[in-house]
Amino acid sequence: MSTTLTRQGTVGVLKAPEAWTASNAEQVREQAYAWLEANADVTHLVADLADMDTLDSSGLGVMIALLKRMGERGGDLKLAGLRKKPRMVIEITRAYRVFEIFESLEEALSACA
Amino acid sequence: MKAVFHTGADVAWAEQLTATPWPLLPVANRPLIEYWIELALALGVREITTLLDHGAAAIEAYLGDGERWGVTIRYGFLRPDADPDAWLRRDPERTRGGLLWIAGPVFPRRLESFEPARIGAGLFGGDPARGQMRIATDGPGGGAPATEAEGAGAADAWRAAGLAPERMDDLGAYHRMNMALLDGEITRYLVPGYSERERTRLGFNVIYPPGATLDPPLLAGNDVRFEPLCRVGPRVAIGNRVVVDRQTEVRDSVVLDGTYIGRNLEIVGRIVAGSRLADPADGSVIDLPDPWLLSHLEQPLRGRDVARDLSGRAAAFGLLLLLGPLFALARLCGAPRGARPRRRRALGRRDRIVEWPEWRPLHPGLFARLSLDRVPPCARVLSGRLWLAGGRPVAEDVPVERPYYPAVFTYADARGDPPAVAAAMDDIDARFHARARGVREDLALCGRALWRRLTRGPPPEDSP
Repeated sequence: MSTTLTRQGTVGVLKAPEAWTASNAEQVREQAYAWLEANADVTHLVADLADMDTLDSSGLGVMIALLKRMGERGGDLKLAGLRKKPRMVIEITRAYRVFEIFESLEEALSACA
Repeated sequence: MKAVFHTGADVAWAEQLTATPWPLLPVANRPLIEYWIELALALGVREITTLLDHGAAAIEAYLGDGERWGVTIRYGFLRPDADPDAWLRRDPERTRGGLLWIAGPVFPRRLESFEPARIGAGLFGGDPARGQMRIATDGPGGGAPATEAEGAGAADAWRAAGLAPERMDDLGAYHRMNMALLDGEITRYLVPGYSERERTRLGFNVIYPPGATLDPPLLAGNDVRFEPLCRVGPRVAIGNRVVVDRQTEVRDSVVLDGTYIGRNLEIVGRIVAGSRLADPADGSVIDLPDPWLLSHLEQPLRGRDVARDLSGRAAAFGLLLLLGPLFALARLCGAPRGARPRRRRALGRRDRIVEWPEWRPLHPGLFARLSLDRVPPCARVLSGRLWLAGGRPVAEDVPVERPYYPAVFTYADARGDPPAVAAAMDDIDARFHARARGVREDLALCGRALWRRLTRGPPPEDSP
């Protein structure tokens, strides 16, 4: 499954692929950057990770790049629906210290409101 | 009394963690089957039969003929659908004088009150595939209870004698057993080969710089390397050939052999086996084939070697330009006229023999401080026979079983190790370098070695 980006008001929703790894990280980054370029008024981005089963350091690197990009806009990147396996990666890399993580997409969207 | 160890069970949780057969899975850095042998010895057993299945070759290779423990170990096979009792009955000799039977992942846990002389016939566990231990006084039944329910009373008697077998039927139980041993129970077993200081047990060739923090209780096997600013412990069991990289924190965890743990990670309450990470709380295991996070130390990274090769040759060329004239001057002034240099022969890159001259200069200390002794091998870097930075070249007839990157400048140079220490560290240095090697690491290592030699001179030679 590929990455899709949609918007709900000024909040962008990035539906993450099943595997966010070195094989597609660059592609996801370019897709997200292009989408953000075209949607300049989006201030917050929520990464919906409900379908994501595999994450590696490249995928995490893109998440951090997106977090930085959203920070420059005065917004944030929030993570939602994190499954067990990628959660373990987030835990060992201490990425939980930089991302706001929500149980569900709805919860993350309401936090952006 | 004789013992029969049945290692044929399928232990799914161990299989998803590592390719090591489960009887060899370390509990506090010691294969499970060694604890069985130790119990057998305590009960007076001198003859052990090990029934093999998966991983038979590895188990047999590890146990050998049992000479190491002063017992005789024989091997046999039992089909998965075969009845173990029928196998025991087939030959009365197998059970003559009493029997200790252990099958499946059972840990023979000792209590403070462990007194082998008081341990009588009994049964723990029902299904051999899930873990079973039985002691019979004579013959296959030999006074031992036939069912687990009947065995409850006997298990109480065992407990009174200080023996409380534990089934390790999932990752959580395996993790708990490791932590219990680290918390102090380990002193009830043999703990061979570790130096111990304040509940920190370290094997051979454990490298930890002053910036690394080791919090007891902690156990680390042989050839382990902790990088600066890492924090390891409390309650960590680390296997052999493990590297914990910079700024990483490891607590309440078990790290199995041959694991590299990357930089700035936080491993808490986990089991790490190579690139696999397991959560003992729910049994989930993920594979992270990511060289920046977790990986097997032996992982090949050949792509980097092209860049290393080019940068190494360029740096060697620069060093030759810088040191060459000084070397020529030293040769002109220092070498006795007509003296022939000794030729050093070693196993070089791609298993080709490399040779370079070693002169005895007039001022050996100054010669070495200026690293002029490394000028001839530097020329071999240009010809592709040696690496600029890596491991110490070994003599041509020495078999090498580790990753081998023979080089001009080594970790031993950077630390200033005398030859005997350098030899002891070779293995872990080689494995660390195989994982960490790259242009930056090689140039940094070369720089550190040159600086160390310049400022502190060559390391003292070992006393004869």
